[in-house]
Amino acid sequence: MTDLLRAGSLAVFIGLGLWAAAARDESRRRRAVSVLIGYVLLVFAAVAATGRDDWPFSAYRLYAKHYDPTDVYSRIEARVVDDSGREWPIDPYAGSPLPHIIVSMVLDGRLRSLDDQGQDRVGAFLLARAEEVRRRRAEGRRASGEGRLGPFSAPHGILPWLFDRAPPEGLARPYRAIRFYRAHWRGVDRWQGRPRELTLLFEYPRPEGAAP
Amino acid sequence: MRAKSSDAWNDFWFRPVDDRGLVVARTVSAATALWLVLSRPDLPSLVAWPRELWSGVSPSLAARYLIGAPLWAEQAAFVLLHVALVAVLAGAWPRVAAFVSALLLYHFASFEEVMWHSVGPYFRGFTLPLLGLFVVSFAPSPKRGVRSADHRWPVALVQVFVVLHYLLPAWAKLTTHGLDWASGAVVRDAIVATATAMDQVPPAAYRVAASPFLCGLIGVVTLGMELLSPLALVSRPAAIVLVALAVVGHVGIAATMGAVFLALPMLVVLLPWERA
Repeated sequence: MTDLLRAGSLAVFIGLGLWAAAARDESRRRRAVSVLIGYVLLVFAAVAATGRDDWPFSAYRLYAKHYDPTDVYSRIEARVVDDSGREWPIDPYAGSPLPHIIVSMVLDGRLRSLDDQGQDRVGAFLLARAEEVRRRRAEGRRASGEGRLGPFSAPHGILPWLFDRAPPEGLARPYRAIRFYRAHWRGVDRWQGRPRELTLLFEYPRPEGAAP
Repeated sequence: MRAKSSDAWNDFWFRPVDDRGLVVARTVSAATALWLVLSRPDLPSLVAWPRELWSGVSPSLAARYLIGAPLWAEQAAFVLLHVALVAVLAGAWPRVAAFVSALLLYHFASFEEVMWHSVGPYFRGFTLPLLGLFVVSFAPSPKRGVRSADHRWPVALVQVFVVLHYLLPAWAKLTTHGLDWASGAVVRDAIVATATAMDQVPPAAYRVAASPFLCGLIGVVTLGMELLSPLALVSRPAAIVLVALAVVGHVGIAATMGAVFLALPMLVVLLPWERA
């Protein structure tokens, strides 16, 4: 219901804009435009007052959050395994078009509610994507998710080199498995040089003898 | 009093100006959007992702963003989005093209965060261009050599959208932290918590976080700039200062927190292009 109300607020904006666009004489258009402007200001005032988002009329609350670097943060981290058994970071563009950090958040939200078969389908999907990106990089090409503008493509919201990717030797052999870890860290610990702790959640394909 | 405020309203929104501001607003909105969609060539493919990953998207959320078409239809719509944006840039049926672009941007922008978002879908750069494209589609096409109120209000409205991008975060910070947000401690904690979420830490994060002076300076300048940002709507020098400070600020955020403000080109709309 809330989603449809939010869609409705944009629909009203569009409706008022079309009313202004359709007005032929200047005084009518001015009246319609004034209503449109008043509506926009009202919606933004409501969004700011309530702190609730109504995208594309946003309250932009990102850096107003409480950040505590002594809190324990966590996210899901996927790593791939080549056919010699060596483990490598998954390419940050394996989950394109979703930004890498969003893929991690989506996995965090979904994996825990999936049964083993569901987890395996997600694992198979991401493994195939990672292998496709590996093949392209091994051939000296960019990942398809990196955009059509080469180095001038817009990054996915975060500077791309802040995410690990496999070195050249990690591109030489096909990927055969994918492992999903939960990474835990505290900001203060990483600041002091301590690495994140990784806990293995599951691996696809499941090692022999493991369920299912 | 009422006549005075009515005069101020009319002067701000409807004073006759030349077409330069409107041409710039239209061009920058379309160019920014085109840059972003060319950088995301596989956006439509998201609809073919496993249903397990879509399971958290409610039918009402999907309906809000007009999601539900098959892959071929999404791919066709994505091609149409490119064509429409190029048409806006070329000035070919610009109002219709801008309207179609804005509607399709609204749809495709949602793809990047529809499966997960925590603080509201800011949609990674698409917000300001899509609002800008809607507004220029509502306004009569610019006429060269003519001074008109219809050249003024669309530009002013897009400028308001850009300024709200700075003013509303200041409001959010004040309602959450009060003036303490400008203290170095809050800025330092935000830098450390954000910067350590990636595999590598952004280059300047720890150096800035270790300096109470720099953190305090960032807090005061950021909050001051955001609170004073509406001055850019009424003062040409203030607009130039805001654009310069905002660019420095966004570079600083990238260097300390790794986050890139993809709608940066939209700041150009604030510059004093139009002539009365």
